[in-house]
Order: sequence, then C-alpha cells, then structure tokens
Amino acid sequence: MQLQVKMTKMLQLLLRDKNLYFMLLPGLVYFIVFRYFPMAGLIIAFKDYDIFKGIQDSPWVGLDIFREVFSSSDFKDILFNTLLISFYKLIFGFPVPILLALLLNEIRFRFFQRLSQTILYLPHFISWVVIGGIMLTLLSPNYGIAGDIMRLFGVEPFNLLGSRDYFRSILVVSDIWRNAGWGTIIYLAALTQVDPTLYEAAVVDGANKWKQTWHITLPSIAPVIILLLILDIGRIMNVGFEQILILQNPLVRDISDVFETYVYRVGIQRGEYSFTAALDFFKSVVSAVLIISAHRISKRLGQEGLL
Amino acid sequence: MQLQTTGNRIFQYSNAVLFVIISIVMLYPFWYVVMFSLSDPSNVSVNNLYLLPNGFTLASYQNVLKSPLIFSGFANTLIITIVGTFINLGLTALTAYPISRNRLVGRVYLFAFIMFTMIFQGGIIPTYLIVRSLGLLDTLWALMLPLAINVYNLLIMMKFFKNIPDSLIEAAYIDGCSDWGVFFRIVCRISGPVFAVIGLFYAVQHWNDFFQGMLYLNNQQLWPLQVGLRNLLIGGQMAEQMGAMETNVSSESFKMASVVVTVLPILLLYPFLQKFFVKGIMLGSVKG
Repeated sequence: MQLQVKMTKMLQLLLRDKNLYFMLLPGLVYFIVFRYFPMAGLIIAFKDYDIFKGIQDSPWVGLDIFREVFSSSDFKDILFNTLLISFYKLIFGFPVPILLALLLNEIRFRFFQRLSQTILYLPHFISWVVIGGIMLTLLSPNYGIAGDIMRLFGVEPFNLLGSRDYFRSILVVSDIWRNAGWGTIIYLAALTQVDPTLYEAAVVDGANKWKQTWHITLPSIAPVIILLLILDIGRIMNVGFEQILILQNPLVRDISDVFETYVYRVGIQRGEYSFTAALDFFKSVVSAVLIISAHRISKRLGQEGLL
Repeated sequence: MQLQTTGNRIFQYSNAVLFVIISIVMLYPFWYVVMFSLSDPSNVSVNNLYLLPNGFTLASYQNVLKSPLIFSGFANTLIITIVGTFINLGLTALTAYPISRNRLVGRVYLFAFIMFTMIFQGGIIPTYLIVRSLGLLDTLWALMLPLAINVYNLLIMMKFFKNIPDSLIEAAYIDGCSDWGVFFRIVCRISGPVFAVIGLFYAVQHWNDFFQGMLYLNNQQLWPLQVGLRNLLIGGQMAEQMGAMETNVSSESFKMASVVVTVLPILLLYPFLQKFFVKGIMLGSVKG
C-alpha cells in the first residue's frame, strides 16, 4: 500500500517535470551514442574484427589479442614513450607556472603586469598545426634560426626535429612554451587570496622577500600546488598526442610514438582495428584507475573531489 | 610601508627585464613567420633573423588566396565553427539546465551517468567505428557531433544555472510559464556571460582542431583549414627528410603565408578571447 503511494507520488513528479526530461533527451542520446557505444565497442579487442562481418558476427578470440599486444615490442615502446615524455613534461613543466606566477605577482606596475600575462597566454590559443609549422621553419638547418646559431658555433647544421637526441627535449620545451603561461592563471588567483596582513607582520619582523616567499607565499598556495600535481599525475597517460602527431617524423618515430599516434597510424590508416582497440582498452583502463586514485587522494588530503 | 632598499629595487628591475625577455620569446616566433612570409623568396639566405621583411613582397599571399585547399579549408572551418558551436551550446545548455534543478527526480543518477564518461572512455578506434557505422565519415557532421558536449563545459554551465535563485524560476511558473518558457525566457536571457564563455571555448576548439578532420575526412574538399595546413607542412617536411636539402624556398614562404592566414583570426580576436577564457577558468574553479 505504502509502495503504491510512493509510486504514484513519483509518477506525479515525473509527469510534472516531463518537459525537463524532454530537454535532456538530445543530450542523453548524445552520451549514449558517442560515449557509451564506443565503450561497448571495445569488445572488438576480444574479437577478430572483420570490417565486412561487423562487430556482432566477428568471431570471439578471448584474450588472444591482448597476448599479442603485451608481447609486442611496439606496445613496450609506446608505453615507455608515453610514461617517459609525460614524466619529463611533469618534472620540467610543472614548476614553471608556479615560478612565473610568483615573479609576475611581484611586478608593481599594474599595466606591465597585465600586458605580460596577456602575452604569456597567447600560444595556448594557437593550434599545434600552426606552432608545428612555425617550429619547422625556425628549427630548419637550411633557412631557420637554429641553422644560423649552429653555424655561429661552428657546428655543422642538422635537423633538430629529426634528431633522436633532441626530439624529446623539443617536445618538452615547446609544450612549456605553449602552456606554462596559461597554467599561471590558477596560481595567480591563489596568490590574490593570501592574507596581506601576514606580509605586513613579516616585514615588521624583518623578513626579506625570500623569507616572505618561503614562509608565507609558498605555504599559502601549497594546497593548490598539491591539487594540481595530483591532477597532472592522474593524467599521465594523456601525453598531449596532438603535438607529437604534428612534430613526429619517420626518423624519430620509435622514440616518440605514443598510444594515440600509434592507434591512428596502425588502426585508422592500416585498418588493424582489433589490435589497436586493445591498446585503446588498455589505455582507458589505466587512465580510469589513475583518475579514480587521484580523486581519492585529493579527498583524503581534505580537498574537494576532482570529480 | 615597504622599504625601498637597493636590493629590492634591483630585484624589481631585473624581474621586469626578465618578463620583457619572456614576452619576446613568446612573440618572436609569430613575428618571424609574418616577416618570412612577406620576404622575397629569392632573397632568403642564411644569417637572417627576420626583424624586417627581406625584400617586401605579397606574392606568397597571392598564391595562398589562389590555393584551393586554403580557400575551401577556410570555408569549411567557418561552417564547422559556426554550426558546430551552435550545436555545442544548444546541447550543453539543454542538458545542463534540467540536471541543475534540485526538483528533478533522478538527477543524481543522470549526473553520475554523465560523469562516468569522464572516467572511462571508449577510445579512438571504437568511436571511429561508431561514426563510420552512422554514415558520418566524409561529412562535416563528423567534426561536429562526436564532440558535441564537453563535460567540463557542461559542469561550468551547471554551476552557473545552479546559482539562479529558485524563487526567480518559481515566480515564472506562477506567471504561467512552462518549463520551456522558463528555459528560454529566463535562464537563457540571464546566462549571457556563461553562454559567451562556453561558446568561445567551443569555437576556439573547432577552429584549432585537426585530429577529428584527420580521422574522419578523406575528401580533401571537406578538409578544415588546419588539416589542409598540416598536409602542406608535412608534405614539405617529408621532402626535406628525404634528403632534398635544396628545398624550394618559395614554397617555404607559401607555407608561412598559409600559417599566417590560419592564425590571423585568432590573433585578431585574441585580446577579446583572452578575457573571456580567463573568466571561464574562474567560473570553473568557483566551488558550487
């Protein structure tokens, strides 16, 4: 009896808001078709997918494809490259926005501060295709500045983008060039939240700039730094493949191939769908574990969750 | 209060100088391409920093305007950016609004249903197969529909809608407004800023995207600008790799002119874009 009352109440509420549910419909269809169907589509990693038979009629092969993936040298290469390039970008790239924000914050002349900030953000709005195009010219041994500088130091000009020794460093440096400025926004916002009376007290106590930064500023923004660090570690599998896709060339392919660039070349272009879907599957599972862990850790540290 | 010690003053000056240098590092590459593209290809030689064009000519730009790939690319990118952004905004707002209302039964489950897609993703191949099975390959829809809703943007919008006072919406209901009436006449009307911010997020994403185009379009006539440009650049790079050291320099300034044409709309809108983007980041980080 009580259940019935509850049900009618529920039904009334659903009917009252039927228009709101109608509004949701296109969005839900979108999520089902373009987000959930692909998840289901990952089952082709357990099948010998045949384009003509379709997903349903392709034969099951169990874990054969995963065995093939895990024993292949390509898989080891792309996993190693993904982790290494991500790690480099994190180690060298993570501190830069913090430093820039601290220094920007010290500029007294407001107009100059604003202008510097605006210029710092600029490359973030430019596509990797365009940046790649600029880099190809700048770094060209024939007519680029890199070639001129090498000649200046008496080095025979060579193509930096084709060099196995320099390619990964170029990825890291150009990534910092494009994104470090943008990364300062959150730190600058955090810096404005620091209580100014703390600085006044410190000045009375005779603390210099270094001591103020070390004992007041950094501890004040430490929660933000830790949160962003956890967030970045949670995204370590996402290495910024668009940049690599643009700058990559056959000379450095094996040291720069990551999941997406490999999946694009071997899966989409050569049609090895099952093998590359297994790579997609692996990457998705690892990413999910990392994101959930990052979320848990940040909650444990007393931050609001990331999700 | 602050004592202007000598040390402090030295720090202030060197800090300012540092940011002047950083600004030059940020801006010079753009200046360089513009100067390169305006230079006379026959004058291009070593030891040239391109502070100014070396033998001014607009020939490269004339070639760019005559190039069918750039021309159709520009048109395709405009279509994708405008139509795509409308689809993005419509779908995102229509999804965000109902879930932002506390009275909606089941909103927690609907929210979880959407959030799950942030944690687990199907990946490139399965998404490609879905797009193909829907018959969207080699249509511009393939660049607009698969990424129609960005969950981050959805969250920003939801936060904004949540802050609309319930009393305002209740009052509209009492005045005889339907849910649709409330959505269009009240919610959309007072949400101008968030629509602008999110719309620009989507628009810049469409303008700069090339991977979707590479994935789904074989037909060159449908290529957006970025894909056409990539093809141009990669083609040249390959030639250089293959040992053709004497690359055709005039094709090089043609490439740089194409780069300038591609990036110009963003650079012109930049002061305006930048303000809205920063606002968007702040909207996203406000707890709600």
